Amino acid sequence: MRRILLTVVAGLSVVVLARDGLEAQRAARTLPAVPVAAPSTAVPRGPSPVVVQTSTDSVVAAERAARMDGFAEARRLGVNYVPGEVLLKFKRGTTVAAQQRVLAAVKTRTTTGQLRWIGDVARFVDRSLPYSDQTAALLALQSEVEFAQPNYIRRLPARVSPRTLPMPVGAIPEGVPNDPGYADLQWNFSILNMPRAWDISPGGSPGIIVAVVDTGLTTENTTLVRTLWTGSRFESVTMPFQVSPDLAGSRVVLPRDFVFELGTRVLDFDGHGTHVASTIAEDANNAVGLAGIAYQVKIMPVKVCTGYWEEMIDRASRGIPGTIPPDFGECPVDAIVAGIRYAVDNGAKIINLSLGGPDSSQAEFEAIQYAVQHGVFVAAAMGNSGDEGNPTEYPAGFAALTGFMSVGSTNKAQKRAVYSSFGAHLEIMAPGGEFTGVGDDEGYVWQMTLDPFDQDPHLTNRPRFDRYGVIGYLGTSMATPHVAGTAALLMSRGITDPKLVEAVIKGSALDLGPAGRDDQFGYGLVQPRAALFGFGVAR
Amino acid sequence: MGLYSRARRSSDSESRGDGNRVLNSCFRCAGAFTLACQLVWPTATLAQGSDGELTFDVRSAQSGSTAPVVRRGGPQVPPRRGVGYRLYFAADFTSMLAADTFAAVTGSSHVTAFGGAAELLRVWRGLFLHGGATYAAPAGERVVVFNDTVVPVGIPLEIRMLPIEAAAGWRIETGRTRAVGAYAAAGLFRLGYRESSAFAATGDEVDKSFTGYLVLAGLDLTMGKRLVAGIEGQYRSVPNAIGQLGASRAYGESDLGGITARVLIGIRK
Repeated sequence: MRRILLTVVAGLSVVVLARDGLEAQRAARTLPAVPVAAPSTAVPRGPSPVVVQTSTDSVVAAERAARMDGFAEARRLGVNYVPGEVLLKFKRGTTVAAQQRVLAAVKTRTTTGQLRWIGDVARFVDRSLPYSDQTAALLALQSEVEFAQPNYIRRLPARVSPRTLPMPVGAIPEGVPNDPGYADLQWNFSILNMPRAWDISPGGSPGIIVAVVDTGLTTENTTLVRTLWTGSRFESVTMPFQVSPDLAGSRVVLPRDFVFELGTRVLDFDGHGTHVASTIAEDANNAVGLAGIAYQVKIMPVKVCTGYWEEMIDRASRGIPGTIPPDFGECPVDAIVAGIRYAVDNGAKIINLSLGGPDSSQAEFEAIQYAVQHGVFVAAAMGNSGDEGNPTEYPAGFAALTGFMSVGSTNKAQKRAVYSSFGAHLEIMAPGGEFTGVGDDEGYVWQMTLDPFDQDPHLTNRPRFDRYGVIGYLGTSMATPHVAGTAALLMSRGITDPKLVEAVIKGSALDLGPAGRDDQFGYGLVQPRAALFGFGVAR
Repeated sequence: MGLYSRARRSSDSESRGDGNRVLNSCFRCAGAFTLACQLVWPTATLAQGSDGELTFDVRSAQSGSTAPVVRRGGPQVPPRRGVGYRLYFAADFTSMLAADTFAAVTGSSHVTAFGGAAELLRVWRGLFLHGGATYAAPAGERVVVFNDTVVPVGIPLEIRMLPIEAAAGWRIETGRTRAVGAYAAAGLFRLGYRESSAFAATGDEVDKSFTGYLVLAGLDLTMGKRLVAGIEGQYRSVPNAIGQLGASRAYGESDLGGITARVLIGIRK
């Protein structure tokens, strides 16, 4: 089937492309985690800010290579953790010698000095012990260990539309932003009565920082020239990057890459992170693209996930030929933990986690707890397994934490999207889309992000990351930033306690399904306008 | 100190007739009011006359006597009087039935109102007709309620309540000069209710009227020729006025009525 693709190119030129249809499902992009500073001496540690080591290129390359090797090994073994990696926490007061004794229990050559510390959690790496679940179980038996768990891998619960849309043109109705795609495509904002919410809080406050812990959001216009395997040989490929034309660079602050470049430059090789960030904060009323919920707040891109192209670049840099499965990507928990703590320690007030996986991680739980305790509201995706056995996914499974909310997905009809996971831990619903095939939007959630056809491994082996389009995604990944954006608007109005933010979001939700909270819809559909406007006696 | 006594009851209190019997219990309330009067006017004494009515005997109070005053010389039946009136200003202190809702929105479950009323007295014997209105404008702030958590969202809320009441009841007046009145009534009222706030869109504001019912009872004291002061208790109910939306829904409260204590001062004839 032919699809018409109109892509808004960076610089706002428009290109129309004809494409063969391809249900490009990027259900899972996972990304590797980032190294954080290793303490020079392994003294007993308490909670402390994440300190990212200033990495030399060789250190970065080595760290990246180790990660990618780990991901490759995970694929080979068919496990959902990074083989040879364990996150463990020693009990308070455990001496360095005692820590070494603990490590000796698993007959590793790794010393305490080689542990990578993320706050008070240590990342233990020994590739000769690939079955991390067994290693963690042995470590957990030691009396000095508070917990030890494999370094699990999270996925991105989103699927991308098989096409991009031409930017609608025509009259813009009164009372809505003048972004050309708003009226025709952003059904999700209409359902949430966003124009009336913006009357109260016009895009939120520039003083509020929302951390998007994801695949990243490109923070600079640059060009990478890297060797890539192009199907039959290695070639030097020029890969241009541009920042989003509809998310002002001045509103992108304190970026950090915890998985690929391990520095302060963030490049999105996927588009997922940019889509999520755009739902939260895409520029509005600028006559370009679409709108975001909190279009005045600042975005902190925290890259904790890598995808196909990062791994392909790494493989080629080490002379490994061939390709990997195209729908592959990883978000290791150690990077997520580091990213959360980094966001908290650097002034973020809201954290968006559009990622998840089936394994509960204590390190991740404690990182979220750390965030909430420091006044940061956290929203996490429920997962897209509602029609695939509906397992509890994490971090959404930690919803009992006050100030942290799990977010499910509704479709245009305000029903639970069939893929949206559900259960006793479901707290709130937001539009995440569901394919309908009806109308221009076809039921997707549309935002400006990287044109997926520029990076689809099925279509190209010379990717580029400088062209943006109006792209439809669906998934609880897309629902989550609606809640994060709402929280940003609330915080902009002075409701800054994450526990109160959660109470307001729940208390103002539109009850769906059976009266009161239920496992299919939680407390109902998030209502930014009602949350901001509150209630009087009678109405 | 004066004492409240029931020396005897007249069997020929024809001017009171059935009315006194029906409202006999009001005398007990009057007793309480008498005690209150003792605190306000400690030199005054109330006593019950030979015809069974309460009298207000200043002389005994002035003489310092503590003995009950018993009238001699048979019952004294005041001459029947024509239709009178009572006009007063009122201050209402209402404990709202939707207590949690008002506490959340206005910070207090009590509402203060000011207004006035006019009454036609002795329409037929003790029957009187009452009409009045009060106005309350408690200030509040819009909130979100979740379980026991109330979160103000920073948007002021103006509430205006204007009940216009009509009632009919029975009134008895006692004392040689009929200085003390006790009454009870029941009736209806129409409550004009408005909520408004900044950022309100179409349909957000409330401007409705509801019909409720009320019962009231009170005591008053006439001082001098015309000046009257009194207290009154009211129970008002406006069922199903609220509770469908708003904070009242979160609390499951649906009645805009309340229990009101009214202080009044005015004139009467």
